[in-house]
Amino acid sequence: MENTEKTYTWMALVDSTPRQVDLTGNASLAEAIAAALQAEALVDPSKIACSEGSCGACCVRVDGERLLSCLAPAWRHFGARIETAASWRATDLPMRLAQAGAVQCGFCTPGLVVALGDLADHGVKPKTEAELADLLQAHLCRCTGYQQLLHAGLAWLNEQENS
Amino acid sequence: MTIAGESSPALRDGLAKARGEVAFGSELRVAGNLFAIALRSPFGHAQLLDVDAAAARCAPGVVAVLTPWDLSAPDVPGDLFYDQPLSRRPALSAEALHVGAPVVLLAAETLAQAYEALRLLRPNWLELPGQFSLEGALSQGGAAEALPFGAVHWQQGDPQAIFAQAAIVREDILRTSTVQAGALEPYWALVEPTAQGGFIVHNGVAAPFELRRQMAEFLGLSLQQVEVRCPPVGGGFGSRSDDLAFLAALLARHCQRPVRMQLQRSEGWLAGRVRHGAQLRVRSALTQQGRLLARELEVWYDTGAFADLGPYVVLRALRSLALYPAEHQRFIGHLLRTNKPVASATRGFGNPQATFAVEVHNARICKQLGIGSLEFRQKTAIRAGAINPSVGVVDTQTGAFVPKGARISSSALPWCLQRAQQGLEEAITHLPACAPGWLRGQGVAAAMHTTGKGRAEVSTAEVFWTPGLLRVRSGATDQGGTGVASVLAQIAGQVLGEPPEAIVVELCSTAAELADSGAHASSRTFVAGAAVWDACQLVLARRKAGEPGELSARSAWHPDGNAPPFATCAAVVDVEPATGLCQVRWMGLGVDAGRILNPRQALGQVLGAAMMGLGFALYERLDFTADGRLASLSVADYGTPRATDMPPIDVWFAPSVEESHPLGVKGIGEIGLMPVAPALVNAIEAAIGRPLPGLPATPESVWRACRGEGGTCT
Ligand code: FES
Ligand code: FES
Repeated sequence: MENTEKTYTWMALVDSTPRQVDLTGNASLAEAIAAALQAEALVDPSKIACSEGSCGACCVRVDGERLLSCLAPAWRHFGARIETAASWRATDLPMRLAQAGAVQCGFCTPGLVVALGDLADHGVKPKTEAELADLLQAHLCRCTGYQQLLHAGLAWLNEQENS
Repeated sequence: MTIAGESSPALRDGLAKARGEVAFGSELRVAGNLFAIALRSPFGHAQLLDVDAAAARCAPGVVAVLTPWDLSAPDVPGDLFYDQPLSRRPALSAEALHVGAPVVLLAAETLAQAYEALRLLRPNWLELPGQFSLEGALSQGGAAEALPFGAVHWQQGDPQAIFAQAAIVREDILRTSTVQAGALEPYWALVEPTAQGGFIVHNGVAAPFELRRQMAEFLGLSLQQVEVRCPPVGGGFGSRSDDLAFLAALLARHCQRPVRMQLQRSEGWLAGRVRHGAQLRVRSALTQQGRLLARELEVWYDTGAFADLGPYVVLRALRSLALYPAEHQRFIGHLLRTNKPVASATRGFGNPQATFAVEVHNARICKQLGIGSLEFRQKTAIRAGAINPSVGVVDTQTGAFVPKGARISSSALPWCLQRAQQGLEEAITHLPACAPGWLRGQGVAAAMHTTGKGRAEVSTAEVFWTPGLLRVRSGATDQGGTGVASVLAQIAGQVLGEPPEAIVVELCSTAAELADSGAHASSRTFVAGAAVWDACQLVLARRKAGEPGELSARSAWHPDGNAPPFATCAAVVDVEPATGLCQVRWMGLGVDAGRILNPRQALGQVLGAAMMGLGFALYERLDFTADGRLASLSVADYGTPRATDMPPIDVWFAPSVEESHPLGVKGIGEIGLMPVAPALVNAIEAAIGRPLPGLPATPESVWRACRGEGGTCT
């Protein structure tokens, strides 16, 4: 068969750095942000687990809005500002989660960092762990049983200054 | 010296993971690696008559298409059951014995190209009849036995005679479902040929040295020609023992290029390993006052298409029988073959199913005789110093299990029972009353597990010390943030008096030749921790003797025994009989895992295990159609608990020390799972006053039970 390989060049501002990704294959136009991010990164802070929008591992913020990047087509967000967990490296959130025992295998963690970081940016201060559990309904964690995560997340959110 | 408990600042790699700086295996690429996928059987049992691969072979980017006729693929050796190769299986076969069985392998330059080419394959299938349910296999009698010697069996005394005359005889039959470990990271393997004709296997396995042994045999190479490396794993739970590394190795050898193979999450339900669905029969003879005279446990575990680790898994059911000693006891463990995905190791290793059945049976006995659950367990459960009959060997000619006479080296189970009961009483007084139309029930359960597999356990460590720099090298792996590196650092740091920042821990590949039997059966602190401790003691002795320069030592540790950890769970559940809905209001776990070295990590292990127990109890189930296909492939439908499903959970660690171990520790990774499902079901049964058929206790199952129907439970 003749090589009918298509290439689609996608660009986005990922954690404040412009990144250009060449996506190949007939389906390249339909590629999701998650796959595009992973295509060229050595370490991609957003993780791909279920690829069907059920687990939250791939959660990133796109132009200020939380999205499951395994479902969001890359082309629709061409040139977008994408924030992965790397955007919260300078905050104390990662350390707080690690210290609380909220990180075991850590595969769910970057997505949760984005979710919690986004809640903080919106000034969300849940009153109870149950309230925070509702807000994190999109996220699965198979390791921790959630308790240490909710505990640390609740405390951290309530300490944040309103922006 | 003893190692003091401390929750070190973070899991060694926890911070890096939270900062998104850790690359997991599923992100691993090596220069020029091909992407492989398999054509997998859509049928429960079928023969691939032929496959037209012409279009796929010349599709863009395709480098190889391997059909069962293109290569004489050797068998995957599988683990040995004692010395028997009972889990040998074909790597690639035209006869697909279960849905998802690989029949054609394909490698291409990009993943997208591999998928495009997969669609061009034209398989010609002949669907075959098969055994697609445990019920079906049960009705076949001995024909479905997966083991050449039939059932594993053990007897002490004469239970039949006691059953014939006892005042009270009760029998319960319960079911548990096939479930998935459900680790978040997809399953993957990457195999690279080396310039010397060997292979480097990157795979998130629990037991890299065992994989090296099998891979060397599979490829006809020496052990030195195969290196197994384990990058960080996004959850293991024992389940990362699929055949992907072997399939990738076939392609890597054929193409002489690195090959990575990864399952889509939905494929993972098919091709990954699952927990055995089971039927369990428990029969007890008692006096009117509730003294246990005789007990019989017969289990039927659905191993799917291949035995894999099934023979060992089914043996682990013995723990639940051994927990309540009676003079007369009998165990019969069947491993049944069906045309379903392969069941193997999954957190708890055969014990969750049996503990569920025995503990629900115990609760029903207590109800029938009007005795307290706590009192019955306090009186009946095994004590420190007693012989633990569940430790032994199987005669692979006859299937007879022969206990070794091992004794329970420590038990704080009485403390755990007492603590759980106290917690239950406190919880009941604090919980708001249940809603109108809802009923509240309380349940308790206990469990005994194992630390290590009780044979051939080993871990090797090397320690290098100069003032201010302590380097620890271990052959142990970390199966997904179980905290092995942290605890090894803690042990070494305390023995040699170095702060955390002076300590480097390397979990090495097999090339370092630090033999380690694997991260299974809650055993790494017990085995690898002791190896590090021992090596540090050697360094300490040399330091005290005034030796100059860098001091180093090596230790290969073979533990003595398998110190059983214990746990109890108490639970409060509200049930709405009109709908069958259940709401877990509270759970408390008392845990005897010996000395707790890192309280926060230990708590995380118990909470995570409790969550898996809750999923097993109420939600999780792989549903199969009557012809052996999976009824649902989505993660969303499977029923992994979310944060909103979790009740408040209290965990209490018993002030316990395991005397047989230099650090006083026992296993922590699995024990928290075992008592959860029976405690929850006991609470539900107490609420509705009727028996449930088994797991999961879905609203449908509870609703039917409320109406007096037997209910369904697949
Ligand atoms: S990978 Fe996107 S939601 Fe699971
Ligand atoms: S820490 Fe493993 S999935 Fe959350």
